[in-house]
Amino acid sequence: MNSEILSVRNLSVAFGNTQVTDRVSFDISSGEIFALMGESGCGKSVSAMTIPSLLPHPSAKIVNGEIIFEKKNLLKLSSKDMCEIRGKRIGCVFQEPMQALNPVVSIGTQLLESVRFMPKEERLKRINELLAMSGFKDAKRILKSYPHEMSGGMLQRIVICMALAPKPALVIADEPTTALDANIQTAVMDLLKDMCKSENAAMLLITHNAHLAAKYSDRIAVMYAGRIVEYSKTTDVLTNPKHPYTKALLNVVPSKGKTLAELKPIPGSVPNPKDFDDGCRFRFRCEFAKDECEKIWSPCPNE
Amino acid sequence: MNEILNIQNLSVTFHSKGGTVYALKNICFSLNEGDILALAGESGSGKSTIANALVGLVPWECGGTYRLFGEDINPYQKKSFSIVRSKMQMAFQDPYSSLNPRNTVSEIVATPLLAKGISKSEAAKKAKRMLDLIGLSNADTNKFPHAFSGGQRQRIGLARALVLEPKILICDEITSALDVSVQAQILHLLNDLRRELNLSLIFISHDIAVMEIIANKILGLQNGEIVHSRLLA
Repeated sequence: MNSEILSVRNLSVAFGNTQVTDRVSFDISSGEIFALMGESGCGKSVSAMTIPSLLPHPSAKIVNGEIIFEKKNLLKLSSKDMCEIRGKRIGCVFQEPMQALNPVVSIGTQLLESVRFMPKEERLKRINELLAMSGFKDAKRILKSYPHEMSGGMLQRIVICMALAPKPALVIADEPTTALDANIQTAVMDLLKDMCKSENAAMLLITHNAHLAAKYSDRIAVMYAGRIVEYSKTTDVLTNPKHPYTKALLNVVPSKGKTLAELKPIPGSVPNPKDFDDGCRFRFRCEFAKDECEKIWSPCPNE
Repeated sequence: MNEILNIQNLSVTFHSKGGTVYALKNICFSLNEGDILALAGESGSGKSTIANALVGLVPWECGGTYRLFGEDINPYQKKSFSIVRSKMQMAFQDPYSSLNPRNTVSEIVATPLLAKGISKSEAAKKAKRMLDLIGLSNADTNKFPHAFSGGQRQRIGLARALVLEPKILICDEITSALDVSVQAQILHLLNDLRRELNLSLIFISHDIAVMEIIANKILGLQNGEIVHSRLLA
């Protein structure tokens, strides 16, 4: 069995006086692909971006919890020590590749920046190796190009190379294919998965798409309104969902053979964090809501 | 079924310093009343160029013919498209950049009516009715776009397109920037509006699963040409 490299325990994050995530807990083992799934505004990105300490300061505050990564509590590290981990041991792939890259710096310079920790003679070799793995045949030309000369899919492949170049133990992929065409989505996700597997890096995949999570992840945590409501193996979550929100989320995904009547939209939207209470936060949109849902919330089945 | 739109030999070419780009090559298709025609293809295949050509936002190459509700439209005359736009409107992909951030929602939805010379009070009344139809409350009409979520903004974009009571609505990737749950809400709203307002739709997307759910005919595009045509049950 693979060893655990990340353990997030009871993580609660607040912006000002508003708490946006509530006791979020999950573990990731090395080489594993773990998906955080939920709608926009559920706290997936906030929970994930707390790991490499990428939340805005001072507005974001960690209310409680701990993040143990490679046996260190990241929340207790100084910003200097965190710099040694961010980018080097934890890589990030963001949603918009065009915004993740500097438009006035060549691709080569940006890729070399990601391997600045390595001995000089190994840097270019590593970059060429990664470009070849990602299907770029003319590496010389790619290194000289600028972001505007490339398509969205090509740019996302460059960002994946940058994230994996320093051989990180964990890659956080925040909706890596949402901004891309459906046919390019598969190619980019296949590449991300293959590269993580070959480098034995774990992946934290953030997505709102159950199909994507089903195809690529080993385990899934479903988040709603700042809480993890279900957390299990991917096949269990998809074939036997326990929480009404997970069931509702699976019903809204369009798939082959589904009719419009079978595509059941979830009424309303995710509540504003200012309106969060102690009851089940999904009760306003849930078809199975009962009176007791006001007082208790169905905890994650694995807790 | 009545044929309401017939396009023959639609070609669009863009000329630049770098050379000539043949964006569309001899595109032919028709649309029947009540139909939902999906245009599928990768980015750059020409889907949005077809939409833009239909409403006169890009120039046609010689040789194309355009028939709308039995009337011949001259696509080489800018004036002809004012008739087209009273019957055909467009909703756009990005709900964040397609609404003027400095106008209130009721002003945004009333703008096409004012441009048509309808009085302010009448435009405001019609805009309110349309916002009600797409599910926005009265209290929301004086808010600005930033106060709304992506799905709500897309509803506002639909209200603006539908306020002129068009018969054909072009939806250019209107669900691509949305969450799956909001996407399902918009697809249902679109289907309800179609029935209520007797609309025909041209639905542009790159997601085959979404198109198979909503459309009854799919045209596949590649490099500016129709390479595939399929009727759905």
